[in-house]
Parts: sequence; structure tokens; C-alpha cells
Amino acid sequence: MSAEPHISPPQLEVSKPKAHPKSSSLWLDALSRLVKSKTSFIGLCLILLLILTAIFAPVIATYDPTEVQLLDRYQAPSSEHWLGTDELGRDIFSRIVYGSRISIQVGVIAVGISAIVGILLGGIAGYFGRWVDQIIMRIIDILMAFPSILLAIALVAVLGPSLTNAMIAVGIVGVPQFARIVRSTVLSVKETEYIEAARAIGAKSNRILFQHVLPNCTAPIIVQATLGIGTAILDAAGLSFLGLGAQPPAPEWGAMLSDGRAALQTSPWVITFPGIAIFLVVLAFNLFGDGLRDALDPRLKQ
Amino acid sequence: MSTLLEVKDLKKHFPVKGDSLFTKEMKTVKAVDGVSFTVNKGETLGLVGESGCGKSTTGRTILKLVEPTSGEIYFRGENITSFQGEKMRKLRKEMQIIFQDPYASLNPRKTIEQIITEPMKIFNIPKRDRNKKLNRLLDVVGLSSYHKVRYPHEFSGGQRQRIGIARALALEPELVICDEPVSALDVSIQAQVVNLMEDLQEEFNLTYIFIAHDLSVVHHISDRVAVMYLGQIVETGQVDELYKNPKHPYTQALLSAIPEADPTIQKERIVVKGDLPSPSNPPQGCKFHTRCPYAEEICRTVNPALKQVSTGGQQAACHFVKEVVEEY
Repeated sequence: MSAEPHISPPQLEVSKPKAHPKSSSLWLDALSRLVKSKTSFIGLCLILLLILTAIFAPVIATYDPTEVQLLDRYQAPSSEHWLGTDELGRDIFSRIVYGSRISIQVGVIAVGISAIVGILLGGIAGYFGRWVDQIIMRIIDILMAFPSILLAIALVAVLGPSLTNAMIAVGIVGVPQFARIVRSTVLSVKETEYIEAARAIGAKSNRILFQHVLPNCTAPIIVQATLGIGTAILDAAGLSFLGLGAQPPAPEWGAMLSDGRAALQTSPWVITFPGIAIFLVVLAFNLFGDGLRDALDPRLKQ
Repeated sequence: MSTLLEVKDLKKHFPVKGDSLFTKEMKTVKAVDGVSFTVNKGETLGLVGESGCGKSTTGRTILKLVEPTSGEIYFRGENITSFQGEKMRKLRKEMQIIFQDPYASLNPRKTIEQIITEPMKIFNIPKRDRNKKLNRLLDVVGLSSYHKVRYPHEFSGGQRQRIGIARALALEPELVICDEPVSALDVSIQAQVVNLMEDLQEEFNLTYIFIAHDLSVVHHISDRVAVMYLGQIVETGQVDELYKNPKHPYTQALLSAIPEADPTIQKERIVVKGDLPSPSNPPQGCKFHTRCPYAEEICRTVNPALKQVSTGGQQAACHFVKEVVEEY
């Protein structure tokens, strides 16, 4: 599919068997459904824009994001400082551009932690059932009983404020969702005949779980991961806003909001543009995640 | 002929929750309720009966995919009923299963090569032998080697069933339980697959337990037949004898339902009245008495045991069939 990205979906279907004998039409179908949906396409474009911005940050940024220019503090947006400057005279546009790196890092690492822990716990709970299931899911219930941001604050309070600890905290907060989704999917997959077939050929439990059950649970995991990145970025920004995440002078969007709130009435641009950046990124991941869910599992659309 | 498998008074009861939310009363569904039979090396035992009579559960219980409630299973003279974990896993090399639904029994995320070689990987067969064997298996079930890299969804039902057969044969088992292997297939494909299975039986010296509800298919492939009704065997015998001269009223009704290809033949169809009783609440006495045209008082109270009804080894469980004492 990478060789002919602009071909319309029906042609893609027809040309598939010859060109790609190994490809799975399940994924191709999902891809064509995904591209057809306008909202998820917008989400995808925004995400690509974010990734490109992060990669080419040094090229795009007009100033050093941490360079203090006290003479230029609180400048309104102009041709020189596109989005204005903050209280220390740092260029907001450059800070937002560099901040995209932090946001992607936070989103991916936090969701990575949630996914690895959640898939393991959910998979083991769903597959082995009985008391194993009871113990794991009750722990998950306890985690879920806390409001997510409160739990994250508590964890950072224990670990100490830093960006790394904020990522760990946000990651732990996201574990219950993964665990529950994976558990329910495993419960349905393990009743299928091909799992019985795997038992009949003498496969051991861990082989069945990791090679047969979990590979068939990928669709909901991918959807949850995409939606989770948006939430993770938002939560991490919240922690940074409270001073528990990224530490100054790191150009983190949530921390930028916090820095600018004193001057909200006189210099609204300091707080407006990082806010818009957070809003767009979270919106992008939510749109794309919703589109992915519709594309991967048409039954859930209602 | 030596006995390969012997099943003695096998029972499998599934607990089901009671109707009300507040009662703790547990009902049981007696899926298999006292089944005994033997299978000799190299022969095919047909297991027939209508849906829900416990034939599939019997097959799965023999493989210990489902734990039996009680009874004994002897494989090559060894009691395997209590085999657990590693001991049972080792034994799986010798007994395999072909599933009913070729669409559900193959992992959609694995290629054909991965599916067929997986049993060999599990039993640590070296890679070179695995590849050799894979090619041979593909060859005997009539698939080409370029199919190896494909995924199950790229195949038709008949081809998928061949893949399932190749997987079952990968470890060269002695016993293969065929759980309605052709009932999900087109009639034209059914014949191909059944013939393939017959050829393979000869080539690999396999023993089959062939579970089906299609009586003509069973007639074609089986040496002996056991007819099941509500978790019990009601009649068993050599296939030709049983089809020609069924003794049990249920078998008679079943056989009379086989359509005749010749329209000039007037067949007397025995229609069984009523529905299959619920296996969670089976009737007292003979389980068939609620639908039997000949039922009398004794049938409502006493469950008849299997008894010899011909000199050829045919057995039936009915009060009104005359017992034949074998003469030596």
C-alpha cells in the first residue's frame, strides 16, 4: 500500500491479491474506511503536522525557546515575534514548537506504560480467570475509584515533581482502561475455536495467551492507545500547570499556561496560544481515535 | 485388531444457573450421561445424533479439552482420565481433532505455514524436518506450497478444512476426532473432503471417531456406528448391519429420514413426534419414551441398558428388542 497511496479504495481492493499476497484485507478495509471519514482525516492531518513540527523544531522555530530577552517581555504578536513573548521575553511561537516534542514524548511514553501494564494485567486476568481475575480486577477497581488527575497528583507527590515522574503517574492512571478493555476482549477471544485448537495441539498457556489470544485483541488496543495519547497529553499538561510536571525553563504547554496566567488581562496571547495548541492536539487524537474505532470495528458505530 | 480407545460410563454434566436471581439452586445439563464404547486401531467409529445430543461433548471430553465429570477413558490401555498438565500435553501428540467450523478454527492472524507448523514447534521438531513435513502435508491435503504465506481468510471453506486436517496430522497422531468436519461445507466439497480423509486414513493408518449428523456421510466413511440420544448411546453396531436393520425406534426414525435419490421408491417415513427434551431436565426411564411411538409403562420408569440384538455385535437400548445371545 505504500507504493500507491493515492489510489481510490475500490481499486486498492482489486489490485491487492497480485501486488500483496501477504497483506491482510482486514487492515486494508479498515484503512479505506478510515480515509473516507472526514473527521478522522482531519485528526490524522493534525497529528502528522504535530509530528513534523516536533521533528523539524530547530528549523521551524525562529528563536531559542529558552533564550531570555528581558527587554522584549510581554510583546504582542508581531512580524518579529509571531505569537508574542512571555514575561521573560521568550518567543512563544518557538516555545510552542519545541513544546510539541515534550507533548509527543509524554503522550507516547505515558500511553506506553499504560498499555504494557494494562495489557499484561488484563490479559492475565481475562485468560486465567477465577481468583487471579478477582485479585487483579479488584486492584484495578481501586485505581479507578480515584479521579484520574487526583491520583496523578498523589503519585507525583510521592515520586517528586519532574517530567519523568509526571509521565509515570499519567501512565499508571491510564492502566485501568487498558486492563478492562483487554480483559473483556480476551474473554471473548479465548472462547473461540482456534484457541481450543491451540490447546488441542498441546500449546502451553503462555504460548496461547501471547501468540493466539493477544494478537487477536489488537484492534481495541490500538483505538484505546490513540484516544489515550490525547488524554495523557492533557493530564500531563495539567500536572505541569500545577508545577508537578515539566520544570522551568522547559517549554511545556501546561507550564506555559501557568506562567502566563498572572498577565492574562494585559497580555492574553501568553496563555491563549499554548491553550490552543493543547486543544488542537487533544482534539486531533480524539477525532483520529474515534475514526479508528469506527474503521476497525464497524459494529461499534451505533 | 487391538483396542485403541475405550470409554467407560463417561459423563459430563455442565452446571447452569437457576432461573431466579435469588435462588442458589444449580441445575446441571447432562450433555453426556453414561457413554461407553471402544474404538479399534485403524477403524472409524461414526457418532451420530441430532444437535444437542452430546456427540461433540463426547469427542472433546475424550481429548480432555473438557474435563469429564465421571467415567474412565483408556487410551492404548492406559487410564488417561486423571491426566493433567504436562502429562496430558505430551499425550496430545497422539490424539488430534478436526473442527466443525473451518472459519472459526484457524487463527486469523497466522499464516498457513505458521498454523500447520505450530504443533511441530511445540513438540520441538527441528526446523529442517518441519519444512519437509510442511511441504508433504500441503501436498497430501491438496494445497500448493505458494499457499504457505497466505492467511486463512484468503481461502475457501473446503481449503480451510484441508488446512485444519493438515494441522491435525502434523504430529502423526494415532487417533483423530473429527467433529462434524464436513457439515459446514458445500455438498460438492463434502465429498472431496470425506474422500481425502479416507485416503489419509489408509496412508497414515489413522483411527477416526467421526462425529456427524449427516447419516449418509457416516454410512460412507464408518466401520461401526453409535447412535446417540440425549447423552446416551441408544444403538451401536457394524455400519451395514445397523443401516439395514435398525432395532431401536429412534434409529429407525433417523434412518427413515434419509432422502432417497429415486422418486419411484415409496418410503415409509417414521415421524418422531414432539421436540428433543431439555438435557437439563431429561425424562425419567427411557429417555426416548416421550417421543417413541411404541412407548409403554415400563419405558417411563426403567431406563433400558444396551443389549446384544444380533449375532454381528449390534446392540440396542430398548425394552422391546429381543436379546440375542451370541453363540460360540
